[in-house]
Amino acid sequence: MARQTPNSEPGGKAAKRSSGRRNRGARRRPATDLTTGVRSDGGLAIVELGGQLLHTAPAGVTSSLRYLLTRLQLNDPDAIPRRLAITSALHGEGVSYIARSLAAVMAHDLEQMVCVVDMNWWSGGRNDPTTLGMADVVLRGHAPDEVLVETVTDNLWFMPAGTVELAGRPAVAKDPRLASALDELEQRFDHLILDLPAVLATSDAIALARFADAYALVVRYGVTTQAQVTSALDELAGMPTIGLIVNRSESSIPSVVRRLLGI
Amino acid sequence: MTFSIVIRLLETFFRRWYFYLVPLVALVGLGLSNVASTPTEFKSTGVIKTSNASLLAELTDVGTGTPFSFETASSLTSSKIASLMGTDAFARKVAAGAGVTQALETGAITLGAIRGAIVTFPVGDDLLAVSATTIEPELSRRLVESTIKTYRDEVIEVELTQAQTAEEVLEGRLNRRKAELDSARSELRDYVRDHPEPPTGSERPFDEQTAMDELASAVERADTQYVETLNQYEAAQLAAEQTRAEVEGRIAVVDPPQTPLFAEPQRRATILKMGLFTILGSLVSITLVAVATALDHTVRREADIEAQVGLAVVATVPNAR
Repeated sequence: MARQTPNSEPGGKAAKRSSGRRNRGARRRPATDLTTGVRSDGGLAIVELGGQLLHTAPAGVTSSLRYLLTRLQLNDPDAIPRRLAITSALHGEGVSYIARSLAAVMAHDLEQMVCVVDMNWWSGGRNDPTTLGMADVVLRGHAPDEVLVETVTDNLWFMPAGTVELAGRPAVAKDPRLASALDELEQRFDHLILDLPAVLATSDAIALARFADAYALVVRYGVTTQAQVTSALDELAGMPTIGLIVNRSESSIPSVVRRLLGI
Repeated sequence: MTFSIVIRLLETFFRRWYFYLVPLVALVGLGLSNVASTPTEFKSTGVIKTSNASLLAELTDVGTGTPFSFETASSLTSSKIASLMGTDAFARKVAAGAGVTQALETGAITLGAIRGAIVTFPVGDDLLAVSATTIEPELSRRLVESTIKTYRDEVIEVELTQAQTAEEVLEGRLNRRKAELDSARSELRDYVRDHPEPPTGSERPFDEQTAMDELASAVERADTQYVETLNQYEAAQLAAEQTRAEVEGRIAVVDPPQTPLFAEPQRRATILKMGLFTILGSLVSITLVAVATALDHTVRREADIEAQVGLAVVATVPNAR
C-alpha cells in the first residue's frame, strides 16, 4: 500500500494533520510581513530589501523599547542621542539584539532615518566573511554606500561589521577613518545605533564608545552580576549614558503569586 | 528591603522549585517510613496516693495540717521518681522487679529504653499516675508495678535506717544480757548442786546461805536487765514495723496497673512525627533557597541594580524570544 502524503492526497488525514500543525505553528509564531517589516503580533522586523529576514523583535520587546524612547523624550523630544552606543559588560548579553530592535522601533515610530552600525568584530560567528561591512570601509577603502544594507523599511538601514583580523582590531578602533566613516553616516542618518563589543571582554569597546554621544549598557537578567555591571560602568566612566537596559527579563515567580504580592 | 529579599527568595525558589523541594519531599518520605515502621505500643498505668500523712491519719484528720506550698505531694513524688530513674541502681532494681534482668544483660533491652518507657505525672494534689509504654502489654504492667514497689521500698529503706540501727544495737545488747543471765543461772545451779540442802531440821551454814543469796541476787539482776533490754528491742522492732506500715499507708496503690488490652492510638504521635519531619524538611529547603539567593549576585531586580550602581534602568526587555 502506497504511503499517503499531503501532496498525493490533499484531503487526506496526513494533509489535515499537516494543516493543523501549520495552523498551530502560525498561532505560536506571528507572521512577519516581509514587505513592511511589521509582525502580526505588533512586533517589528528588519527585512533586507531582497526579502531576507535580518532580525525580529516581538511585541513585548518593542513595547519595552518604546517605553525607553518615551522616557527619553519625556522632557526633550530631541533627547535621543544622534549616536547611541549599545554595549554590555560581557559577551552574549544581547547587545546586537537590543541595538537592532531599538533601531527598528525608532525607524518605525519616529519616522527618522536610522542606521544600525555593527562594530562588533568580535562576534566572529555572526559576521559573514563574504559580506562587506564597516571594516571594509575603514581598511579597504570601500564607500559606505557599497556596504550599507537597505531594508524594506525606508528609513532603516543596516551596516554589517565586516571582518577584521584579531591583531588589527585595536588599530581599527582607533583609526581616524572610522571616525570619518561615522561622520559621513551621521550626515545621512538622524540616528546611528552603534553595536559595540562587551566592555569587559575587550578594551577596544571603550575606544569605540567614544565615537558615540551616549551609551546604554545592556545587562542580561540572571546572568550578569552586579559587580560586572559596576566594573563595566567604571570602565566607561565619564561618558554620557542613558542608563541600563535589562535584557531577557523573566520572572520565575508564577503570575498568581506575583498578583498576590502586587508585583 | 525586606520585600526585596522576599522577592529574591521567591525568584530563587521558583527558578528550580523541583530541586529545592527535594529535601522537604525526602524528609516527609522519611517521616512516613518512620511512622510506618513504628511498632504498636501498649500503655499500662497505675495510680498511687502520695501524701505526707498516712491514709488513717488523713481519714481521722490527724496531722494533715501542711504548710502552704506550690509543690504538691504528687508533684514532689513525681520528680523524686524521675530523679531516681536517672540512677542506674534504681533503674536496675525496676528492671529486676519487672523480670527483665536477663534481657538487660543480653542487651535486648537497655536502661535507657526502660527510663524512656516509664512516665510519671500528677493527676491531682496527692495522686500520681505511673505509666509505662512498651511493645509488650504484660511488660508495661510489670514495669509500672515494679516502679511503684521499688520506689516504696526505697522510701521505706531510707526512713527505716534509724529504727534498724537501734534494733541492731539492742539486738547485740540483748544477746549479751542473755549470756549474763545464763551465766548467773549456771553459777547458782552449780553452787546448789555442790552444796546440797542440809537434812531436815538443820540449817545451812551462814556463809553458804550468804553465797547462795548473792548468786540468786545476781540472777535476779541479770534477769531484770535482760527483760529491760528485751523490752527495748521489741519497742525498736515495733517502731520499724510502724514506720513500714506508715510509709505503706502514705504511698498507697489506688489503681493497680492492668495489662492493657488495646494498643495505644498512634494518631497524635503520627501527627507529631510528620509535623516534625515536615518542619525539618522545610527548614532544609528554606536554608537551601536562602544560601542560593545569598550566593546569586546576578541582576534580578531593577531596584537592586539601580541602588547598587546609581544608574536608572531605562528599559526592561522581556525574554520574548
